[in-house]
Amino acid sequence: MLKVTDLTAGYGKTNVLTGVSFDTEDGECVALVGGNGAGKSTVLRSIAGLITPRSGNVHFEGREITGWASHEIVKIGLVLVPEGRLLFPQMTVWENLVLGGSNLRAHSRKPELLAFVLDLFPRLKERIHQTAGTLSGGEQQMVALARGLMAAPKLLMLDEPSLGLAPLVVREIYRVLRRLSLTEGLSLLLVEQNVRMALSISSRGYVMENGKIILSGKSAMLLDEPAVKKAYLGI
Amino acid sequence: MALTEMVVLIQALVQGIMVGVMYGLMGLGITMVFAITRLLNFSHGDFMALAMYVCLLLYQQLGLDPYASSGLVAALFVPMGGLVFALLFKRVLRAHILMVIQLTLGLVFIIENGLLLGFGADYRSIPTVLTAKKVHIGPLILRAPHLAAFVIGSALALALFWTLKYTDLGRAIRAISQNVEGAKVVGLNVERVQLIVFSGAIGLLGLVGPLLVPMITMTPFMGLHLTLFSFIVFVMGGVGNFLGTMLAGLVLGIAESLGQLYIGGNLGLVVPYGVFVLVLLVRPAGLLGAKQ
Repeated sequence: MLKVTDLTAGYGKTNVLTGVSFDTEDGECVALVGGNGAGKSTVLRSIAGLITPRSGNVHFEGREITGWASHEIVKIGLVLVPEGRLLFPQMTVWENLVLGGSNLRAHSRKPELLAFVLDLFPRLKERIHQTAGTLSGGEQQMVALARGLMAAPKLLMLDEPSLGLAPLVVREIYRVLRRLSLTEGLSLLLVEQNVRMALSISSRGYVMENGKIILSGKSAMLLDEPAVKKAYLGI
Repeated sequence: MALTEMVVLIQALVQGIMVGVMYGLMGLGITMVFAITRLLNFSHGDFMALAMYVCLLLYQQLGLDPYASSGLVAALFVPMGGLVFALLFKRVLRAHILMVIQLTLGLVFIIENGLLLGFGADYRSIPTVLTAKKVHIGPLILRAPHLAAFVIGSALALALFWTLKYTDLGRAIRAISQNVEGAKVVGLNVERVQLIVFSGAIGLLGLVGPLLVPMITMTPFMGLHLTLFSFIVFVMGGVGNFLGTMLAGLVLGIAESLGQLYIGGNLGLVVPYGVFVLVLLVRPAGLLGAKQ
């Protein structure tokens, strides 16, 4: 479904990524894990068109999309839920969600999607007219995730959905991710520092370090890998 | 307070509000462009001057009244704004602020000297159907050009705020002003919205300029002064705050009107600027600006 080949990208004079390659299958949940500064976010930002790769290429459903503008990428169903959420703080939850569906040609799909995401996060129903900036961190993450879903994604990319959240909220977010992946069959690409959590819901995983992929394989296998255990799981 | 004094005061207030709506719209152009591009357009007022001289041209050549030509000028200014954005502003979107100042000041020189070349340095005014007319409402006597500017300007402002609040375009504009990257992530075509807003802001000047014709004596060099005043409205309202900008326009209009009434002369003209300084002393982020 998504195929990234030999991707090199960076900011200013420095390259953050050097030759990253990986792929995801339709309906699969793939985790991209690694420590702080490994380059995981840069991978997602390059795929989403927020930064232009220096070299390498990105294919989505057989089409090359390297260097496309971000709005074109959203339109073909490749949607990012960004790190730090990037909500519109002075707008209401409803407005944030409606903006999530900006790419939809058919306006008629919005009510249907809205009902779906509010069913996933009943809490947002109570907060629907509140401005996003006044919500708690966990609720804001829910809005970010719901906003991403409003774009009717084929592949949803999540950048650190558990970062800075209380354990109870993390569990709630992951319950929804599991439902999306298993029940709805949505393809997920999950970037996490929370390695155990990410590998527990994904079928395959890639481990990044210093802008490279150093390990890959079935998630269950990676969880048993001595190097992973030592570096990320503290065992 | 005697009754006549009361009437004079109310009349000054009403006049201030009527002119203030125009000031608000001038500032709103700057606010809207800044909100979604983070660019300051120093040639803002010169585009307004240009609009007024286009009115002069239309009057000289075709005998058109500025009120009749206002719609035409606006319709002309929208695509012109689009061109200016696509050819010039787009290139400095990510450039250093000094580049932006250089570009827009360059436009100031081009427009001002172009007007000088075409129309000479003389002070000009254009007669309009409303110039000398007055409207009596109860004990109040209102000048017709001010009333017309107020009615059209208010309708325009309401339409703008309605668009911002309730339409897809309006939501997109607010989203971009609050978080550009977030706007990209949800799939908004940021550059297209920037183009639309810039064209709209220039088009707005194309409409506001002609409405001000009966109130202002024109010179080719008035643009920079209009820009300065627009910037004051923009800052006083709270940088990037749409409603604050409109409010600041009203406050400045009233301050000007009361300054003329109670102080008069050159000192009276200083009153709006004094009010601006006072507002910033009390509320450094502007009338409705967010606290830092």
